[in-house]
Amino acid sequence: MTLLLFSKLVRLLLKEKMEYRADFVLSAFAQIISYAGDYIVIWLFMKQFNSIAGWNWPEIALLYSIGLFTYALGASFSFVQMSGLEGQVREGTFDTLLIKPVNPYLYLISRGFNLAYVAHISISGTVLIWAIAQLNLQWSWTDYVYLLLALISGAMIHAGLLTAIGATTFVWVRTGYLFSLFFQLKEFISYPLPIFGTVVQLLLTVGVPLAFVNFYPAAFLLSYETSLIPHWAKWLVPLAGPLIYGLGYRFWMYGANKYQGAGG
Amino acid sequence: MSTYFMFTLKAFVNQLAFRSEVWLRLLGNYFAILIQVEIWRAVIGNGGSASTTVEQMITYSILNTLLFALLLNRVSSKVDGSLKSGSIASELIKPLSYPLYLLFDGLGQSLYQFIFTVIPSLILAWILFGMLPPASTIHFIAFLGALLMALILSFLLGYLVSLLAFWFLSHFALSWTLGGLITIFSGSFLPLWFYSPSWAAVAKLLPFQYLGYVPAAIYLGNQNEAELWRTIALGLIWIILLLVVAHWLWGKAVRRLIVQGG
Repeated sequence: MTLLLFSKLVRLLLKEKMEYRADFVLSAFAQIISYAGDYIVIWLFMKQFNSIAGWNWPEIALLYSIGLFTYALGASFSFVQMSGLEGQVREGTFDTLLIKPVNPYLYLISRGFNLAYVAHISISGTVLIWAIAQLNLQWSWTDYVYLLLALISGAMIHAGLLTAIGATTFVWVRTGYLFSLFFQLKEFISYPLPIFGTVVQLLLTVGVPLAFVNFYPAAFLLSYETSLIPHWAKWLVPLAGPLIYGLGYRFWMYGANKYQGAGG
Repeated sequence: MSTYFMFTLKAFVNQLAFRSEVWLRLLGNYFAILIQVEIWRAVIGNGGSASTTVEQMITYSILNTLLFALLLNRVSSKVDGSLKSGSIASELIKPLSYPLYLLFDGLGQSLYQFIFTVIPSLILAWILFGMLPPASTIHFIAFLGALLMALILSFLLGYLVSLLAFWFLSHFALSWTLGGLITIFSGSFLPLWFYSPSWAAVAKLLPFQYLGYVPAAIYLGNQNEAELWRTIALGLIWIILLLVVAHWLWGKAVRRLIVQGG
């Protein structure tokens, strides 16, 4: 039932987007340029310094690409929807969502499902494949399965955190800056965790567990030391995603139930 | 002119409503600076590279992070909002210059950022990470000049994007492209002296370096006097060039205006 509804809503969305086809294509192209810019700067950096914390350029490219790929996947289900919540709560249009005979969360995320992330996914996916080929890894099939699970888990971590931030809208209404803070925190995981001090490592492992998105999976796949997670816990890492997403969802529903309206 | 200063004041006062975000902004800047500091400690920490010390790179990172808060990079989204809502029509019939209004409105926001974000962040960063003083009095004066150029150029680039949006009907694609070009060529994270020669040569011809590399490099005294004058001259040429293009496009854009909503 809900899956049917989801596909129907996405189809509607697709039609809506294709009304402005040229704009859609141009926008995707521009986003690819923008992210290519990030890659170019890191590449120039690695060209000058060769390695950072022992990681070379293809390894950093792998790390960064997992981060971007999972972000795009997770954010397509959460970012625009959650950041748009502020306006809906303030104007009172959120109330109409609560009287629909469907789960308000599912309705919100499917109606706002964002196709624009194809740009992020195509550039990060391409670089990810390039990096794996470049590193000439002797991977067994379990490693590929591990990568796949890590990608799914990473996407769920992003979506879970963004959902949790969205839930704060029900209390504080203005949440724009929390999203900016999230993006600033996300910058940390563009680089190997060991370059940061213990406090930051703990923060990104326990507090805002973004290190589970790309650092821990990549470190296990590339056989790097991880000081905070023992090696036997390798297969537990992809469980972080479902856990965080579940918590984020519960928190959001809790907030929506407590929601009293912003008086708009 | 006093009318325009009132716009600056108004934008400033509007921003005051968001004072509670100051702490979050401080935290955000702290994160941004911390990441860069740790990166530079990791790659040039022990012993340092031939030409650059960690202290210089920390200062460079602080200056660039804070400079970014000051740049007028909200111009195109403001115009885009007016274009989409249709309020541009009523803004254009007012007896004032629309671009000047945009500039002074943006300056008001920068002023707010300067007082409530940049100054506290600067003090915090100076205590936590340490900052080098400017290379010399001349370099400091030139640095202030470079800051002014950065503000003007960031306005002009955003304004050009917003004018092109009159044709594209949306500023989204153009803004992202501009953002990408700024990331690559501003040198705000990686100084141009670390770029490979061919990339550095291109970056040193473009206007984007004034939004990151130039002010910080001048502050650190990385440019001798001859280079300094050349850099400033090139910056002025870019400002004039962009002004001419903007003026020409403005004339065309107003006649092309399509109000989509309202």
